[in-house]
Amino acid sequence: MNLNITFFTILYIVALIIPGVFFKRFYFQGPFSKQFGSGPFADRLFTSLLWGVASQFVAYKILKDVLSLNFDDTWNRIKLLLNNEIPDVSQDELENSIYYFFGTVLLSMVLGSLGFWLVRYFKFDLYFKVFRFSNKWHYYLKGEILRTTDFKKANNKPVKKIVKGTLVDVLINYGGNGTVLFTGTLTQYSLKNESELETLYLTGVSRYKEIKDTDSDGKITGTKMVAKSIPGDIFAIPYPNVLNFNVQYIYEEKPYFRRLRYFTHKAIKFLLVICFLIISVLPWFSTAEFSRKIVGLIFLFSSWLWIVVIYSSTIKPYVLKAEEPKINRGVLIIAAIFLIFSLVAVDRSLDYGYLILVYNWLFNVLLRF
Amino acid sequence: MNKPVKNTLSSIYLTIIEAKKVLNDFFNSDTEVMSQDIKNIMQNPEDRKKYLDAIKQLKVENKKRAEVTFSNNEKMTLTLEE
Repeated sequence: MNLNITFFTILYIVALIIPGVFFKRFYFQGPFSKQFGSGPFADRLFTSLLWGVASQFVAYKILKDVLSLNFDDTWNRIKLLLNNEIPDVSQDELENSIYYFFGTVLLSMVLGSLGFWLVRYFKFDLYFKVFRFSNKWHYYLKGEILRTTDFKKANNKPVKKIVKGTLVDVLINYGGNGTVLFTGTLTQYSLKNESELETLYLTGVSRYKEIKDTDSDGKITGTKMVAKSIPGDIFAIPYPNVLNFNVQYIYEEKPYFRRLRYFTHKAIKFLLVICFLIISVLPWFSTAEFSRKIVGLIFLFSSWLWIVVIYSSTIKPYVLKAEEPKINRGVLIIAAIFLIFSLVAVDRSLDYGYLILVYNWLFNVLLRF
Repeated sequence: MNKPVKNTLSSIYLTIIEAKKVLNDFFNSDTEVMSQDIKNIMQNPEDRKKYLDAIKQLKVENKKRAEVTFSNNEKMTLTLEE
């Protein structure tokens, strides 16, 4: 009985908890990475277990449906263990188990990263509270809060312009009753824990100073605040010294043709992402060997990349010039050559046979002439 | 090196640069406070100065909008009003 408990504890940690921990490590990235180690222990254990089970399920489905492995023998051995009997395990099987363990860890990393990318790309964290990360400062300081459903309802107006940066006015306590107001462009911030600010990093900082205001005759009429530039590259403000701060977003106004290009690009990009997700699963349904499926997948991604390069070289969505940019024909030709090469490689590795069909079709067309 | 070979190599290089831009655009989760455009601007000292001056015009001089022309002739119109 003791052996059983010990074995299952190890199995539980190795097979479920460790992949779950790796999933979470890769899911909480960038400004949300502090969320990985936060929360009560029981909660973290439960979520690790949940994602560990999900990773194991995906690994099981890949091995069973894609590689057509038979699990009957494995289930029989688990039954033996449940009956307090130790099954025979060969050296090869032990090696395969170790490979399986590392494989599930790797799969968890990929699933975690993919989950994060999907949530951020499709903005699920902005539209659904359940996906929202606990670092609320990210949404406020990056201007993404404007796109959340709650803020849209409260503000009652749609956001048309694009937030390019954030300007902050920070009132700092200098001890006693002394306060100083700084203004600058926010470049970075750091967090003490998952939701508490530690330091604000600004650039292009000005300090507001009170000076005497005079009229045209030089007579003092009162005081006024003037901004004095502070030379330097980065200005760090420890958050405990901050009394309050005001956030102002820097928007970019786009001329009509650029706005049109931007929204066209957004729509096409969305379709291309859907295509990318479809081609990620496409090779797994072919009858080719596993190694050929992997090669086919790599060349499918490569074909996708060159299609996008041809599209982006023609539309030029990343160029900020006011006039329409010129199309580089050399880039188009090279991308088209890479694309044809990748498509041929996909066809050969996955045995689709489209290459022979195209060849036959071309041959027939040429024969007619 | 003759001209056609040089042009081909240059096109291959530009194609790879374009592919890098595509991958960055599609797979970068954009979690930084500054947008990618602004980060590129900040890396060039001359453009950085122009950008920060434009911000100053908006914030301190209370201008409605500020147009910046960067060193590569790219233009950007900034505003603090939504």
